[in-house]
Formats: sequence, C-alpha cells, structure tokens
Amino acid sequence: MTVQIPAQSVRRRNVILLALSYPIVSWVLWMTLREHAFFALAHLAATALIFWLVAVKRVAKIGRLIGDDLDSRLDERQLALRNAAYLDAYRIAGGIILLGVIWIALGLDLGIWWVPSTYDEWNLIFWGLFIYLISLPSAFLVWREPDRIDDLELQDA
Amino acid sequence: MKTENGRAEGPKLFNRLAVLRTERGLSRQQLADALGVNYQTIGYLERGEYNPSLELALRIAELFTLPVEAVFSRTPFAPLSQMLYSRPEGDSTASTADRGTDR
Repeated sequence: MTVQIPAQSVRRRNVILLALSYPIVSWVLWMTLREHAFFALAHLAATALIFWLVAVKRVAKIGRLIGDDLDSRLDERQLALRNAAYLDAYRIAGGIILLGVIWIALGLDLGIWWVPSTYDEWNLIFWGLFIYLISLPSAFLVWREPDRIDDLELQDA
Repeated sequence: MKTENGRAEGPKLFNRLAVLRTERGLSRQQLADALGVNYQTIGYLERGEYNPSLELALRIAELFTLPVEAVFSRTPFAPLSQMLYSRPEGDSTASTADRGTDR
C-alpha cells in the first residue's frame, strides 16, 4: 500500500497559508499588546488557523510525504524525494539558526545592535522558528515537484 | 546535484516499460499495484525521469518475465518494429537480446 499524495495545488495552498500565518499572528500579537480587544480576538483566530493547518491539515506531515512512522507505505521514489527535502530543509534551517546564534552572541558581546530580550520578543522568535521549521520540507517538496496532471489523466492509458 | 526526484543525478536509463505495460493491457495503477509502488512512480519511470533501484528493476523484469536487460538499458532501444522486421530472412533464431527500443 503506497500513499496517494494530495494535489499539488492543495499542498501549496496549505504551505502558503502556514507561512503567511506567522507575520499575521506577529502583527496581531503586537496590536494585542497595545490592548486592543479586537486584536485579542484576532490573535485567537490566527492561532486557531495555525492549529488547523498543523494539526488538522497536517501540513508538516502529509505535506512532506508523510512522517517517519509511515516509511513502509512510501515507495522508493517517494522516500528519496522526502529525504532530499529533509536534507535541504536541514541545511537551510541549520544555516539560519547558526546565523541567529552568531547575531545574538555578537550583539550581546558588542552591544551595538538589537538582540531579543523580553518574553514577547522570544515568544515571537519561538513561534517563527516553530512554524517555518516544520513547514520547510513541505515547501521544498511542493515547489520542487512538477505538477503531474498527465499521471492522473493517463493512468489508464 | 539532485534531480527533482531527490536521487543523485546519474546516467539516464532507458526502458521499455510503457510498451510492455500497454502490450499487457495494464493501466499505470494496475502495474503500480503489482509492483507495490505509487502509480505516479510508474509515470516517472516511463518518462525516464526516475532511475529505479536494482531491486525494483529486477521486480519489474520478473513481472514481465523478461531478462532485466530487455526492459532497461543504458543506451536507447531501437523500435521493436525495426527489430522485428530487420531480421535476416529465415533467421528465426535472431536474438531477442539484440538491442532494440522504444524510447
């Protein structure tokens, strides 16, 4: 039994929604901190959107061709594809995190540029890393793979 | 450098999968089910966009009850019709291993 991958357009939409949710949540959170009641509700709604994308739509799981627990259901091409996406995501994420650590270390030592210090600043960084790290392999997959409509249309050919 | 399928780019393999599948009257889904792979993988194989592992190549050859070199080749196959009709007259023993193909 192999896994049928959701349509490319659906996977791309989910990844874009998840990627956009972070700046939206950040902006709404910033406004919430300024004690606007409307934005407090919007913050809850945006958080619910992220939960829906991650937990219900499983962007980070199905989007990147299923999590590790389902390896046995992937064929060799799907496994190779997913592993390549993991590798590329690891390289990008590793580079960004390393640059971030260098930025903070130098910022603390030299004190000449901004470094996060408050709870809210770290909170935003945490959620940014969380959202983008889990969706990065999905993003690699959905934009690297070409649309294969002919496979669907010609499967009985 | 990697292909879009994640496998390291290597020499292109040619195959007769599409012809053999059509000849047997199989859909991509049926062939995929018989091989235990996704039907999209069959499409990638037929287009020569994915080189199968040795194990999958052998399974495909076994399914069609052909030697693996009759299904896969490192050089383009000549068309089957050309192979069939270009045999010397009276030569009923012309080797089927003569390189031929459809891609």
